[in-house]
Amino acid sequence: MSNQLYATATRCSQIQSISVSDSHSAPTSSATVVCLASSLDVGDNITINLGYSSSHDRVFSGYVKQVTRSQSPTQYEISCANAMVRAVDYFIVSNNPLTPYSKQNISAEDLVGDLMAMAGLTNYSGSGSSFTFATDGYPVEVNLVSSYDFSKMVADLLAWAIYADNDGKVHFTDRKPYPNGDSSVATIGDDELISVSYWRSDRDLRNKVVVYGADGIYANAQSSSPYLPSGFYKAVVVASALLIRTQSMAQQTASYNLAKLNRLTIGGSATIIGDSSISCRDCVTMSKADIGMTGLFYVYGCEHDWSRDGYRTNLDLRK
Amino acid sequence: MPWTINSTRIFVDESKEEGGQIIPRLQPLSGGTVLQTFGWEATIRVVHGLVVGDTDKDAILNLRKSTSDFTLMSPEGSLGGFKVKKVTISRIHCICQTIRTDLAENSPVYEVEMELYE
Repeated sequence: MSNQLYATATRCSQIQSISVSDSHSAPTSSATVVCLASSLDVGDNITINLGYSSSHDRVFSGYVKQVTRSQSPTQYEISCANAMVRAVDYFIVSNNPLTPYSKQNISAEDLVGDLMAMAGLTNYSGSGSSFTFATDGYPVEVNLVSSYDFSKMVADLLAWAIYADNDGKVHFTDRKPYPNGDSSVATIGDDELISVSYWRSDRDLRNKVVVYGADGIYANAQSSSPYLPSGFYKAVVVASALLIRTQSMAQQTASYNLAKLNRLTIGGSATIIGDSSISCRDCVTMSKADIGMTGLFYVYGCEHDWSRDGYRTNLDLRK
Repeated sequence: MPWTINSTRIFVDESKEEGGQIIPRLQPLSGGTVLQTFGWEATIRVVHGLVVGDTDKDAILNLRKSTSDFTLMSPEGSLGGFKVKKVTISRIHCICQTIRTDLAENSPVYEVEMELYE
Protein backbone atom coordinates (compact mmCIF):
# COMPACT_ATOMS: atom_id res chain seq x y z
CA MET A 1 0.00 0.00 0.00
CA SER A 2 1.40 3.36 -1.00
CA ASN A 3 -0.05 6.86 -0.94
CA GLN A 4 1.47 9.88 -2.60
CA LEU A 5 1.64 12.77 -0.18
CA TYR A 6 -0.08 15.97 -1.25
CA ALA A 7 -0.04 19.50 0.14
CA THR A 8 -0.86 22.97 -1.08
CA ALA A 9 -0.65 26.27 0.75
CA THR A 10 -1.62 29.62 -0.72
CA ARG A 11 1.30 31.22 -2.60
CA CYS A 12 3.80 28.67 -1.28
CA SER A 13 5.75 26.24 -3.44
CA GLN A 14 8.26 23.47 -2.86
CA ILE A 15 6.67 22.76 0.50
CA GLN A 16 8.95 20.89 2.87
CA SER A 17 6.71 20.47 5.89
CA ILE A 18 3.38 21.54 7.32
CA SER A 19 2.16 21.34 10.88
CA VAL A 20 -1.42 22.29 11.76
CA SER A 21 -2.66 22.07 15.32
CA ASP A 22 -5.93 22.89 17.01
CA SER A 23 -7.32 22.27 20.45
CA HIS A 24 -10.68 22.61 22.15
CA SER A 25 -9.10 24.82 24.77
CA ALA A 26 -7.02 27.02 22.45
CA PRO A 27 -8.39 30.35 21.17
CA THR A 28 -7.05 29.73 17.67
CA SER A 29 -5.69 26.92 15.60
CA SER A 30 -2.19 27.46 14.29
CA ALA A 31 -0.18 26.33 11.32
CA THR A 32 3.46 26.38 10.30
CA VAL A 33 4.51 25.95 6.69
CA VAL A 34 8.15 25.45 5.72
CA CYS A 35 8.77 25.94 2.02
CA LEU A 36 11.48 26.99 -0.40
CA ALA A 37 9.49 29.72 -2.17
CA SER A 38 6.67 31.97 -1.05
CA SER A 39 5.25 35.40 -1.80
CA LEU A 40 3.21 35.56 1.41
CA ASP A 41 3.52 38.48 3.77
CA VAL A 42 2.20 39.16 7.25
CA GLY A 43 -1.56 39.64 7.21
CA ASP A 44 -2.18 37.69 3.99
CA ASN A 45 -4.87 35.05 3.81
CA ILE A 46 -3.66 31.48 3.67
CA THR A 47 -5.46 28.20 3.05
CA ILE A 48 -3.81 24.84 3.59
CA ASN A 49 -4.96 21.68 1.92
CA LEU A 50 -3.14 18.44 2.62
CA GLY A 51 -3.39 14.68 2.63
CA TYR A 52 -2.75 12.35 -0.27
CA SER A 53 -3.07 12.88 -4.00
CA SER A 54 -6.11 10.59 -3.93
CA SER A 55 -7.82 12.30 -0.96
CA HIS A 56 -7.03 15.55 0.71
CA ASP A 57 -8.90 18.17 2.71
CA ARG A 58 -8.75 21.79 3.70
CA VAL A 59 -7.25 21.61 7.18
CA PHE A 60 -6.66 25.30 7.81
CA SER A 61 -7.59 28.79 6.72
CA GLY A 62 -6.45 31.94 8.40
CA TYR A 63 -3.89 34.69 8.37
CA VAL A 64 -0.14 34.87 8.17
CA LYS A 65 1.26 36.12 11.48
CA GLN A 66 4.99 35.78 10.90
CA VAL A 67 7.31 35.11 7.98
CA THR A 68 10.85 33.95 8.70
CA ARG A 69 13.29 33.74 5.84
CA SER A 70 16.46 31.83 6.60
CA GLN A 71 19.52 30.44 4.91
CA SER A 72 21.34 27.19 5.37
CA PRO A 73 18.93 25.79 4.64
CA THR A 74 17.41 28.47 2.41
CA GLN A 75 13.73 28.42 3.25
CA TYR A 76 10.66 30.29 4.42
CA GLU A 77 8.86 29.49 7.63
CA ILE A 78 5.30 30.83 7.59
CA SER A 79 3.46 30.95 10.93
CA CYS A 80 -0.29 31.39 10.79
CA ALA A 81 -3.35 31.57 13.00
CA ASN A 82 -6.96 30.93 12.05
CA ALA A 83 -9.73 33.51 11.75
CA MET A 84 -10.34 33.72 15.50
CA VAL A 85 -7.02 35.52 15.90
CA ARG A 86 -8.83 38.65 14.73
CA ALA A 87 -11.02 38.49 17.83
CA VAL A 88 -7.99 37.75 20.01
CA ASP A 89 -6.13 40.75 18.59
CA TYR A 90 -9.13 43.08 18.56
CA PHE A 91 -9.00 45.08 21.77
CA ILE A 92 -12.27 46.83 22.45
CA VAL A 93 -11.65 50.35 23.63
CA SER A 94 -14.08 53.22 23.17
CA ASN A 95 -12.77 56.65 22.22
CA ASN A 96 -14.80 58.11 25.05
CA PRO A 97 -14.65 56.11 28.30
CA LEU A 98 -18.11 57.35 29.16
CA THR A 99 -19.70 55.85 26.07
CA PRO A 100 -18.45 52.28 25.69
CA TYR A 101 -20.19 49.61 23.64
CA SER A 102 -23.39 48.87 25.54
CA LYS A 103 -26.51 46.81 24.96
CA GLN A 104 -29.67 46.00 26.84
CA ASN A 105 -31.93 42.98 26.63
CA ILE A 106 -29.56 41.09 24.36
CA SER A 107 -29.21 37.32 24.00
CA ALA A 108 -25.85 35.66 24.57
CA GLU A 109 -25.57 34.63 20.91
CA ASP A 110 -26.35 38.15 19.66
CA LEU A 111 -23.89 39.71 22.11
CA VAL A 112 -21.11 37.39 20.96
CA GLY A 113 -22.12 37.99 17.34
CA ASP A 114 -21.74 41.73 17.88
CA LEU A 115 -18.30 41.28 19.45
CA MET A 116 -17.15 39.05 16.59
CA ALA A 117 -18.45 41.56 14.04
CA MET A 118 -16.40 44.28 15.75
CA ALA A 119 -13.34 42.19 14.91
CA GLY A 120 -14.52 41.75 11.33
CA LEU A 121 -15.75 38.20 11.84
CA THR A 122 -19.17 38.30 10.21
CA ASN A 123 -19.22 34.67 9.07
CA TYR A 124 -20.82 33.67 12.35
CA SER A 125 -23.20 31.05 13.63
CA GLY A 126 -24.64 31.48 17.14
CA SER A 127 -26.87 28.74 18.52
CA GLY A 128 -29.96 29.83 20.38
CA SER A 129 -29.33 30.12 24.10
CA SER A 130 -31.71 30.72 26.97
CA PHE A 131 -29.53 33.53 28.30
CA THR A 132 -30.61 37.12 27.82
CA PHE A 133 -28.45 39.75 29.44
CA ALA A 134 -29.26 43.23 30.77
CA THR A 135 -32.95 42.74 31.24
CA ASP A 136 -33.00 44.86 34.39
CA GLY A 137 -32.68 48.23 32.71
CA TYR A 138 -28.93 48.46 33.12
CA PRO A 139 -26.87 47.85 29.98
CA VAL A 140 -24.01 45.41 29.47
CA GLU A 141 -20.97 47.56 28.83
CA VAL A 142 -17.90 46.16 27.11
CA ASN A 143 -14.66 48.09 27.18
CA LEU A 144 -10.92 47.47 27.67
CA VAL A 145 -11.09 43.79 26.87
CA SER A 146 -10.42 41.77 23.75
CA SER A 147 -13.33 40.62 21.66
CA TYR A 148 -12.34 36.99 22.19
CA ASP A 149 -11.83 37.25 25.95
CA PHE A 150 -15.27 38.71 26.54
CA SER A 151 -16.90 36.20 24.20
CA LYS A 152 -15.08 33.36 25.94
CA MET A 153 -16.37 34.62 29.28
CA VAL A 154 -19.92 34.52 27.92
CA ALA A 155 -19.32 31.00 26.59
CA ASP A 156 -17.97 29.86 29.95
CA LEU A 157 -21.11 31.08 31.73
CA LEU A 158 -23.18 28.78 29.53
CA ALA A 159 -20.56 25.97 29.57
CA TRP A 160 -20.46 26.47 25.78
CA ALA A 161 -17.59 26.93 23.34
CA ILE A 162 -16.55 29.51 20.80
CA TYR A 163 -14.23 28.65 17.96
CA ALA A 164 -13.51 29.16 14.27
CA ASP A 165 -13.67 26.14 11.95
CA ASN A 166 -11.37 25.21 9.06
CA ASP A 167 -13.35 27.47 6.72
CA GLY A 168 -13.03 30.49 8.99
CA LYS A 169 -16.62 30.42 10.25
CA VAL A 170 -17.07 31.31 13.91
CA HIS A 171 -19.31 29.08 16.00
CA PHE A 172 -20.83 29.90 19.38
CA THR A 173 -22.45 26.69 20.42
CA ASP A 174 -23.08 24.05 23.07
CA ARG A 175 -19.94 22.08 22.26
CA LYS A 176 -18.97 20.02 25.27
CA PRO A 177 -15.42 18.62 25.50
CA TYR A 178 -16.72 15.06 25.27
CA PRO A 179 -19.07 13.10 22.97
CA ASN A 180 -22.56 14.46 23.33
CA GLY A 181 -24.85 12.79 20.82
CA ASP A 182 -22.29 13.16 18.02
CA SER A 183 -21.67 10.85 15.10
CA SER A 184 -18.26 9.38 14.31
CA VAL A 185 -16.19 10.63 11.40
CA ALA A 186 -13.69 7.76 11.49
CA THR A 187 -12.97 4.42 13.10
CA ILE A 188 -9.46 4.00 14.44
CA GLY A 189 -7.91 0.63 15.22
CA ASP A 190 -4.60 -1.17 15.03
CA ASP A 191 -4.41 -0.72 11.26
CA GLU A 192 -4.36 3.06 11.64
CA LEU A 193 -2.60 3.45 14.98
CA ILE A 194 1.13 4.04 15.17
CA SER A 195 1.09 4.57 18.93
CA VAL A 196 -1.61 5.00 21.54
CA SER A 197 -2.12 5.61 25.24
CA TYR A 198 -5.24 5.65 27.36
CA TRP A 199 -5.80 7.24 30.75
CA ARG A 200 -8.39 8.09 33.37
CA SER A 201 -7.97 11.01 35.74
CA ASP A 202 -9.87 13.15 38.20
CA ARG A 203 -7.65 16.10 37.25
CA ASP A 204 -10.44 18.18 35.69
CA LEU A 205 -13.26 16.88 37.84
CA ARG A 206 -15.19 19.54 39.79
CA ASN A 207 -18.27 18.49 41.73
CA LYS A 208 -19.16 21.90 43.13
CA VAL A 209 -19.74 25.07 41.15
CA VAL A 210 -20.21 28.39 42.89
CA VAL A 211 -21.48 31.37 40.92
CA TYR A 212 -21.11 34.96 42.00
CA GLY A 213 -23.12 37.59 40.14
CA ALA A 214 -24.18 41.16 40.84
CA ASP A 215 -24.81 42.31 44.40
CA GLY A 216 -26.89 39.73 46.23
CA ILE A 217 -26.91 37.28 43.33
CA TYR A 218 -25.18 33.99 43.94
CA ALA A 219 -25.82 30.30 43.49
CA ASN A 220 -24.16 26.95 43.74
CA ALA A 221 -24.63 23.44 42.47
CA GLN A 222 -22.95 20.35 43.81
CA SER A 223 -23.15 16.63 43.55
CA SER A 224 -21.26 13.75 45.09
CA SER A 225 -18.76 12.02 42.84
CA PRO A 226 -18.05 8.29 42.87
CA TYR A 227 -14.41 9.18 42.16
CA LEU A 228 -13.93 11.37 45.23
CA PRO A 229 -14.25 10.58 48.94
CA SER A 230 -17.78 10.79 50.30
CA GLY A 231 -18.66 14.34 51.21
CA PHE A 232 -15.59 15.77 49.49
CA TYR A 233 -16.09 18.56 46.99
CA LYS A 234 -13.67 20.06 44.51
CA ALA A 235 -15.02 23.51 43.78
CA VAL A 236 -14.74 26.00 40.97
CA VAL A 237 -16.02 29.58 40.90
CA VAL A 238 -17.69 31.38 38.03
CA ALA A 239 -17.98 35.09 38.63
CA SER A 240 -19.40 37.92 36.54
CA ALA A 241 -21.10 40.84 38.23
CA LEU A 242 -21.51 42.41 34.81
CA LEU A 243 -23.52 39.63 33.19
CA ILE A 244 -25.12 37.56 35.95
CA ARG A 245 -27.82 39.81 37.32
CA THR A 246 -30.71 37.45 37.98
CA GLN A 247 -30.93 34.56 40.40
CA SER A 248 -32.22 32.19 37.74
CA MET A 249 -29.28 32.95 35.48
CA ALA A 250 -26.86 32.32 38.35
CA GLN A 251 -28.50 28.98 39.08
CA GLN A 252 -28.48 27.98 35.42
CA THR A 253 -24.79 28.84 35.15
CA ALA A 254 -24.04 26.69 38.18
CA SER A 255 -26.08 23.76 36.87
CA TYR A 256 -24.65 23.89 33.34
CA ASN A 257 -21.07 24.01 34.55
CA LEU A 258 -21.61 21.25 37.10
CA ALA A 259 -22.94 18.99 34.34
CA LYS A 260 -19.85 19.80 32.27
CA LEU A 261 -17.27 19.40 35.02
CA ASN A 262 -18.54 16.69 37.35
CA ARG A 263 -17.17 13.79 35.39
CA LEU A 264 -14.09 11.67 35.32
CA THR A 265 -11.79 12.70 32.53
CA ILE A 266 -11.17 9.69 30.34
CA GLY A 267 -8.80 10.38 27.55
CA GLY A 268 -6.03 9.17 25.37
CA SER A 269 -3.38 10.12 22.91
CA ALA A 270 -3.14 8.49 19.54
CA THR A 271 -0.75 8.91 16.66
CA ILE A 272 -2.25 7.54 13.48
CA ILE A 273 -1.40 7.29 9.79
CA GLY A 274 -2.26 10.79 8.54
CA ASP A 275 -5.97 11.41 8.06
CA SER A 276 -6.91 14.89 6.87
CA SER A 277 -10.64 14.22 7.29
CA ILE A 278 -10.31 14.40 11.09
CA SER A 279 -10.53 17.82 12.73
CA CYS A 280 -10.57 19.11 16.25
CA ARG A 281 -14.08 18.85 17.80
CA ASP A 282 -15.00 15.82 15.66
CA CYS A 283 -15.74 12.48 17.26
CA VAL A 284 -14.02 9.24 16.30
CA THR A 285 -14.69 5.63 17.17
CA MET A 286 -11.76 3.93 18.89
CA SER A 287 -11.40 0.20 18.40
CA LYS A 288 -8.62 -0.73 20.79
CA ALA A 289 -10.23 -3.26 23.11
CA ASP A 290 -6.96 -4.73 24.42
CA ILE A 291 -6.29 -1.54 26.39
CA GLY A 292 -9.96 -0.87 27.06
CA MET A 293 -10.13 2.07 24.66
CA THR A 294 -13.34 1.53 22.75
CA GLY A 295 -16.32 3.61 21.74
CA LEU A 296 -16.85 7.19 20.75
CA PHE A 297 -14.16 9.74 21.64
CA TYR A 298 -14.14 13.51 21.24
CA VAL A 299 -11.16 14.98 19.38
CA TYR A 300 -10.03 17.48 22.01
CA GLY A 301 -6.84 18.26 20.13
CA CYS A 302 -5.65 17.46 16.63
CA GLU A 303 -2.29 17.98 14.96
CA HIS A 304 -1.55 17.20 11.33
CA ASP A 305 2.19 16.65 10.93
CA TRP A 306 3.19 16.44 7.25
CA SER A 307 6.76 16.26 5.96
CA ARG A 308 9.22 14.12 4.05
CA ASP A 309 9.26 11.88 7.13
CA GLY A 310 5.62 11.04 6.43
CA TYR A 311 2.16 12.23 7.31
CA ARG A 312 0.92 11.53 10.81
CA THR A 313 -2.07 12.83 12.73
CA ASN A 314 -1.72 13.22 16.49
CA LEU A 315 -4.97 13.11 18.41
CA ASP A 316 -5.77 14.16 21.96
CA LEU A 317 -9.01 12.34 22.79
CA ARG A 318 -11.68 12.60 25.49
CA LYS A 319 -14.54 10.28 26.32
CA MET B 1 34.31 14.16 -28.48
CA PRO B 2 36.23 13.70 -25.22
CA TRP B 3 34.88 13.87 -21.68
CA THR B 4 35.12 17.37 -20.25
CA ILE B 5 33.62 19.31 -17.37
CA ASN B 6 33.47 23.04 -17.85
CA SER B 7 35.78 22.41 -20.86
CA THR B 8 38.48 20.77 -18.70
CA ARG B 9 39.62 17.44 -20.09
CA ILE B 10 39.07 14.36 -17.97
CA PHE B 11 39.76 10.77 -18.96
CA VAL B 12 36.72 9.00 -17.57
CA ASP B 13 36.83 5.32 -16.75
CA GLU B 14 33.57 5.16 -14.77
CA SER B 15 30.42 7.26 -14.69
CA LYS B 16 27.67 6.32 -12.25
CA GLU B 17 24.17 7.73 -11.94
CA GLU B 18 22.08 7.47 -8.82
CA GLY B 19 18.50 8.53 -8.21
CA GLY B 20 16.03 7.86 -5.44
CA GLN B 21 12.48 8.40 -4.32
CA ILE B 22 11.59 9.71 -0.87
CA ILE B 23 9.36 7.10 0.70
CA PRO B 24 8.53 7.48 4.40
CA ARG B 25 7.64 4.18 6.03
CA LEU B 26 5.06 4.23 8.80
CA GLN B 27 4.39 1.18 10.88
CA PRO B 28 0.88 0.75 12.31
CA LEU B 29 0.36 -1.50 15.31
CA SER B 30 -0.88 -4.29 13.07
CA GLY B 31 -0.71 -5.03 9.38
CA GLY B 32 1.95 -4.16 6.88
CA THR B 33 4.13 -1.11 6.69
CA VAL B 34 2.41 1.89 5.13
CA LEU B 35 4.45 3.62 2.45
CA GLN B 36 3.95 7.28 1.61
CA THR B 37 5.71 8.85 -1.33
CA PHE B 38 6.92 12.42 -0.91
CA GLY B 39 8.75 13.04 -4.19
CA TRP B 40 11.94 12.05 -5.91
CA GLU B 41 15.54 13.10 -5.64
CA ALA B 42 17.33 14.58 -8.64
CA THR B 43 20.11 12.52 -10.20
CA ILE B 44 23.47 12.31 -8.48
CA ARG B 45 26.28 11.46 -10.89
CA VAL B 46 29.68 10.20 -9.80
CA VAL B 47 32.44 10.49 -12.40
CA HIS B 48 35.77 8.77 -11.91
CA GLY B 49 38.80 9.26 -14.16
CA LEU B 50 42.23 10.74 -14.73
CA VAL B 51 43.37 14.32 -15.12
CA VAL B 52 46.77 15.31 -16.37
CA GLY B 53 48.66 18.39 -15.18
CA ASP B 54 48.28 20.74 -12.28
CA THR B 55 46.38 23.33 -14.32
CA ASP B 56 43.50 20.97 -15.08
CA LYS B 57 43.63 19.48 -11.60
CA ASP B 58 43.30 22.93 -10.02
CA ALA B 59 40.59 23.93 -12.49
CA ILE B 60 38.49 20.92 -11.49
CA LEU B 61 39.17 21.41 -7.80
CA ASN B 62 38.05 25.03 -8.03
CA LEU B 63 34.67 24.08 -9.47
CA ARG B 64 33.49 23.21 -5.96
CA LYS B 65 33.74 26.91 -4.96
CA SER B 66 31.15 28.02 -7.47
CA THR B 67 27.38 27.80 -7.13
CA SER B 68 27.04 27.71 -10.93
CA ASP B 69 26.08 24.73 -13.05
CA PHE B 70 28.89 23.29 -15.20
CA THR B 71 28.36 21.36 -18.40
CA LEU B 72 29.51 17.76 -18.43
CA MET B 73 30.33 16.60 -21.93
CA SER B 74 30.60 12.94 -22.90
CA PRO B 75 31.53 11.36 -26.23
CA GLU B 76 27.79 11.19 -26.92
CA GLY B 77 27.23 14.87 -26.20
CA SER B 78 26.22 17.06 -23.27
CA LEU B 79 24.90 15.32 -20.17
CA GLY B 80 23.58 18.58 -18.76
CA GLY B 81 24.51 21.11 -16.16
CA PHE B 82 25.74 20.00 -12.73
CA LYS B 83 26.77 21.53 -9.48
CA VAL B 84 29.97 20.11 -8.07
CA LYS B 85 29.18 18.64 -4.68
CA LYS B 86 32.54 17.03 -3.98
CA VAL B 87 35.91 16.47 -5.65
CA THR B 88 38.42 13.88 -4.47
CA ILE B 89 41.87 13.95 -6.03
CA SER B 90 44.82 11.66 -5.47
CA ARG B 91 48.12 11.73 -7.33
CA ILE B 92 49.11 8.42 -8.84
CA HIS B 93 52.57 7.02 -9.38
CA CYS B 94 53.61 7.83 -12.94
CA ILE B 95 57.08 8.39 -14.41
CA CYS B 96 56.09 9.15 -17.95
CA GLN B 97 52.61 10.05 -19.11
CA THR B 98 51.46 9.67 -22.69
CA ILE B 99 47.78 10.36 -22.06
CA ARG B 100 48.01 14.00 -22.94
CA THR B 101 50.52 14.25 -25.77
CA ASP B 102 50.14 18.01 -25.76
CA LEU B 103 51.64 18.13 -22.27
CA ALA B 104 55.12 17.28 -21.05
CA GLU B 105 55.81 13.58 -20.42
CA ASN B 106 56.68 14.30 -16.81
CA SER B 107 53.38 16.06 -16.11
CA PRO B 108 51.70 14.78 -12.93
CA VAL B 109 48.72 12.47 -13.31
CA TYR B 110 45.83 12.56 -10.89
CA GLU B 111 42.99 10.21 -10.15
CA VAL B 112 39.80 12.26 -9.80
CA GLU B 113 36.36 11.44 -8.43
CA MET B 114 33.60 14.05 -8.70
CA GLU B 115 30.16 13.92 -7.15
CA LEU B 116 27.83 16.01 -9.28
CA TYR B 117 24.29 17.18 -8.48
CA GLU B 118 21.91 17.75 -11.36
